[in-house]
Parts: sequence; C-alpha cells; structure tokens
Amino acid sequence: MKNALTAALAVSLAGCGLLEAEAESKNLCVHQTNMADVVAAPAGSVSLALPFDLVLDMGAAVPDLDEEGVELDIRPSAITLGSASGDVDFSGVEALTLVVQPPTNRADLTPAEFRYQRPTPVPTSVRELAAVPVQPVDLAEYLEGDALRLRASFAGQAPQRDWTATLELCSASKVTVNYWDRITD
Amino acid sequence: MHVAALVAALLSAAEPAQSGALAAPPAAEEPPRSAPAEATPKKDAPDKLLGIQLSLGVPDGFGASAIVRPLPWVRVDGGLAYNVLSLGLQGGVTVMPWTGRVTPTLRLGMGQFFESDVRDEVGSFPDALDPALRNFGYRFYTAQLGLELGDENGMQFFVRGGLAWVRSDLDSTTFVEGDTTVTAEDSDLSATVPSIQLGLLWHIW
Repeated sequence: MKNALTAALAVSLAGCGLLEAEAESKNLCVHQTNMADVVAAPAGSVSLALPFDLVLDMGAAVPDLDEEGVELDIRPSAITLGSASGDVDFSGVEALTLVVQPPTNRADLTPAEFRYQRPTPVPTSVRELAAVPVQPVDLAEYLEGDALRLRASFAGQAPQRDWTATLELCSASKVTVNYWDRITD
Repeated sequence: MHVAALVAALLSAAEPAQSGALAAPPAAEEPPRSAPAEATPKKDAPDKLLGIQLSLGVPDGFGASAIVRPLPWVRVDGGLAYNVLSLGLQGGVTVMPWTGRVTPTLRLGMGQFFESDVRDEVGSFPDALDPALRNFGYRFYTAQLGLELGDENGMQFFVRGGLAWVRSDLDSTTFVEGDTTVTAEDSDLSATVPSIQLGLLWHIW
C-alpha cells in the first residue's frame, strides 16, 4: 500500500513538474579544434567523402545521463565546419552534408542530416561552412557516451591543401533534473 | 413659622424616599451606561500594528522579519533570509479571512538571495554552467495556505504550505576543456518545489 501511494504521488508530482529543476540555454555552442587532419583534395574533384568519423566531444555541455531523473534536450541550429588555421578557402565547395550517426544500440534512429548549400552569387572567400538541420532533431538521442559521431561529404571542389578540421555545434539546450525520482529510488 | 419648619422637615424627610423612588425607575428603565460593556464582552479585533516574525522553511530558509498589520485581516512582512549558502531579502502579504485562536491564512511571498556557490547543491548540470553556478543568486515566489494558532494580539505559532517558484538568470559562460570550448548564452535556471514554512509571530505594539 505504501509503495502504491508513493508511486501515485511520484506520478502526480512529476506530471505537475514539482521537485524539478531546469537549466536552459537558448544558445549553447560547443567548438572543437584539431578534430582531424584532412589531406588536400585533388584538383577538379567533384565530390569527396571523408573516410572517417568526426567525433565531437560534448562532455562539458551535457550532464551525467546515467544519473536518475536527468533528461537532456539538444535542438541544433547549425553545425559549422572550419579549419584550425582559419585561412582555408572553402569557396569551391558547392554543398556539404554532415550526417550525425545514431548510437550503435539505437537501430530505431535514422541518421540526422545537416546541409550547407553554397549561396549565389558565389562568394570570393569562404572560411567556414554552416550546415543546418534538414529536419528538427533532438541530438541528445544521438549521444554515444558524451560524443557525437559525424560523417562529412563535400560536393564540388574541396580544399586543395592539407588542413585540420574544426567543428562547432550551436543549439538550444535544456537539462531537467527531477529530484523526486532520486528521492524515491 | 412653625408651619414653614414643619414643611421643610417634611420635605427633607421625603427626599430620600423620593430619590430612591426616582432612582429606581432609571435603574429599571435605563441601565447604567457602563453596563453594556461589562455585561456583554465584545470580541476585540486584533489591534496591535507592529511585530516580528521568525521563520524556517523551504525555499526561504531562516527568516527574521518585521510585520505590520494595517487592517485586522491583512498583514505585511519584510526582512532578512538566510538559506545556509547566502543572505537574502524576503517579504510577503498575508490575508486572514477571519481572526481568532485558530486563524486560516493565505500568504503570497517573494524573495531574493544574493550570489553564492551552489554547484554542490544543484548537481547534475553540465560543467559548462559551472562558472554561472559559482556565483548564483536567485529569486523565489511562494503561494502558501496556513494556520496561525495563538493570541492574535500576542504570540502565535504558524505553519504554512504551498508551492514555490525559483528563478535565476545565469551569466553567459565560457568553459574550456582541452580542445573543446563551450559557450552558453541566454541561460536560466528554474525550479518548482513544494514550499513549507514554520514560525512564530509576536504582535508587540
């Protein structure tokens, strides 16, 4: 009887948002330098897919999701690819596709796609490529540990020099901690 | 002469009787003016204007306030609060639909705690918010129903319960860890929690 009453009270309190704390950032950006060294693309190339995953470490931006009662929501606005030196010219890139891979244990999730399309008229110099989500997505579901894995592919002429990739993910993020779940567990 | 003296004597002898006779009807017909107050005690409305309040509760912590009762059915309080982490200010308005030895109350309160380090208290939030949680101040609003027990013109014990809303706007933060920099802008922290408060009221003046 006592457990039933406790459970009923927990459900009602959780439903009403009692004993709950929430931290929200409308603009949370994770910028990682020295992600990967990328070799120069051959001249005249029309497409290039990077043969490795870009791993974005989100550790400082996410709570410990193994703790009871903790929920996370990450709604991305853009993922921006750049170079560590800041002087690599991406103006030859017609399109960039970044695909966030679901965790290996989440076969129910489809990869989340982000796209950059070169504007017209073609700019003379482009130092970074900002890809926006193709459709709304909660990237919290795509975390594997504290990291996101991305695949990048270029359409058009990728940089014709060796460069070191940087990545920046900007999003609206919300962390909710339900203290009742902790008390009752 | 003898007749005049006799009449005077008769008159003086008759006066007590007349007085008594005259007095008796007023006593019967017009009760003394002081009688109503003595015979039928009237219920005194609370009439002390000022006092102090000491309290202990969540989320307002320890409180010491001055109270003012401009009307018998409403009381205003304001003073200091201490939540173990920092000092703050708090105040409120209490409405009492009726007064007596047991008085129901509705209190709306609010307060502000000055900045302190709350990282160990809130826990579970991303490291990127640590700089903001290191200097964290918050405001709170409460709505409570309660009971006050005791002498409404003297000392009363109270217990209140309800809801509290806690809000804080967090400073923009930049957190660097290895090759990763996390910036958080336009952030806030909020919580909805039950609110409980116990304490004493002392109506003094």
